[in-house]
Amino acid sequence: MIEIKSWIGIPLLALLFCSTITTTKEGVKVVSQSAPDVKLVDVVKTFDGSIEVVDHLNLDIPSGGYVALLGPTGCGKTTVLRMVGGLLAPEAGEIQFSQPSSQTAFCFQEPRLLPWRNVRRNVGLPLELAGQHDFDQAVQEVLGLVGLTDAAERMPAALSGGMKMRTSLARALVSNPKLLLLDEPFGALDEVTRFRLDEDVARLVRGRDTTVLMVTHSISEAVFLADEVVVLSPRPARIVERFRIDLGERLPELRATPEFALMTSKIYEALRAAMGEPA
Amino acid sequence: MKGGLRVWYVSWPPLLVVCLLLFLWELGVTLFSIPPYMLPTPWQVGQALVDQPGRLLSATGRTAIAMLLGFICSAVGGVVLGSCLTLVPLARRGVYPLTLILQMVPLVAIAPMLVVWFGWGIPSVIAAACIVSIFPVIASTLDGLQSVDPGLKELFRIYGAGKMRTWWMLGFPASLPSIFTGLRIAAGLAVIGAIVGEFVGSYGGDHAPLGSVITSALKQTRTDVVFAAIILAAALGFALFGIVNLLGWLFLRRWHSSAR
Repeated sequence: MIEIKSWIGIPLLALLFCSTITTTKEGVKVVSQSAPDVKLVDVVKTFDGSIEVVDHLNLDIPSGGYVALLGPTGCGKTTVLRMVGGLLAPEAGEIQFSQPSSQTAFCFQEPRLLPWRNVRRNVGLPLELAGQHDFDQAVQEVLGLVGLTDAAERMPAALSGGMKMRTSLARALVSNPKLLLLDEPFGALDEVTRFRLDEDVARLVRGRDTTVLMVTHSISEAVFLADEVVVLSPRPARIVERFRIDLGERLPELRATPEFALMTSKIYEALRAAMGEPA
Repeated sequence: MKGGLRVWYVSWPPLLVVCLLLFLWELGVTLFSIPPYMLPTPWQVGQALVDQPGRLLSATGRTAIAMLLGFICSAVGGVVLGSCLTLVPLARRGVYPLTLILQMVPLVAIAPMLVVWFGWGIPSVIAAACIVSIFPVIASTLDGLQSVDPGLKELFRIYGAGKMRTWWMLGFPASLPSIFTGLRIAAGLAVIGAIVGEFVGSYGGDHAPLGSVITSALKQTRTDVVFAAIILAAALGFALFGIVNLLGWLFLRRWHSSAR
């Protein structure tokens, strides 16, 4: 019921995205593909053959779902994300996709912008590398969504940290990904900017036909954005506890509600227990 | 500070030092009555410069062409070779140590061979200018390509970009600051290469370039002409360096701190 509620705020945005899809050549293919559901089955990963990073991890990320991985520093969260993105191969076990994940987008902790390209051309990079040449319209639209229309011609060196991350987010969204992997994307930003970007992500990604896996250190960010928060143990990463987050539409006011505070403190306790600290 | 004022602010101290040195030089030669064939006075050198302006200018022009062509060869060749060595790791391990030979073998020693291989006149001079200036370009290209941000490389891998596209859209632009450092060094070396090449393998007479002007003037103990030619050769080096700097500024000013 709550999920239906979260849909109500979205249709306009969804329409906007659909128009992007149908106006681009590649778009036709995009429509026929829907968000994959991703299954990690008994995934094991070691580094240098001895240090165990991920220990028989089983995780199910449903199609269109938003899962956040929380855990202590160095627990292997990022390794899990990179394996899902195909940047690393698991040693044992399997990562299954309900369909080929041809449209995967990453957003890293660093913005990773090309300093010699302005914002517009940085955002257009994935489309350009995919062999698309008339990407101006798609870029303009996504820049509008992240509030960077006026900064389109600026160089990265002239942007604030928050604007760089917005550019990075716009670049991840421009190819209309079906699987979005967020690796602690706003970890280096100040709290206010971070909250605002979280609200943007909620508005742009939640409820869209996109499966999202996010790694974060911030409990409140995880609760604010995800449908499900997975708490991992210190290395090697194992699932300690999973929390279903049914908080409805993700508006800024949500952070002030008792439900939000309760969920945050529950997860905090679980995380502390996972790290072996007495309650 | 405004433009004109700034130029003056930057240039008056070295100008003053140059004037002082010229004065001491003139004074020294006169005081110790050094014969002109050993060391001409600055005044005599200035006289030689304006004495036969046509001959010296055309000589400078000829050297400039050879130097410029040699420099372009080393710039293009160096970037291409440096890039190939990065794209093919085995080639890098096999060939890079050999490119050091270009740096270590004295140019004066191989210049006569260049004449044998490339023929008298401008071809061997271009070859000399290129050989002596290519190594810094290769080294700086390699260095630039190897220090490309791994995060950006990963980004291109995620987007499925091939080796050539990654080079063109990431490696090459990211290496430009480093490449321009190499080109600045190469600019100075190209003049040296051209003059040495001309010492060994150029025609004299009316179509003589600066290097031949120097050798023939030495035979006639016209040291004033030798100095005049040296000044012009140095001016060529400065001009090429200036052009490289200007190009670097044009390419990098929008994004790299070295050009601000």
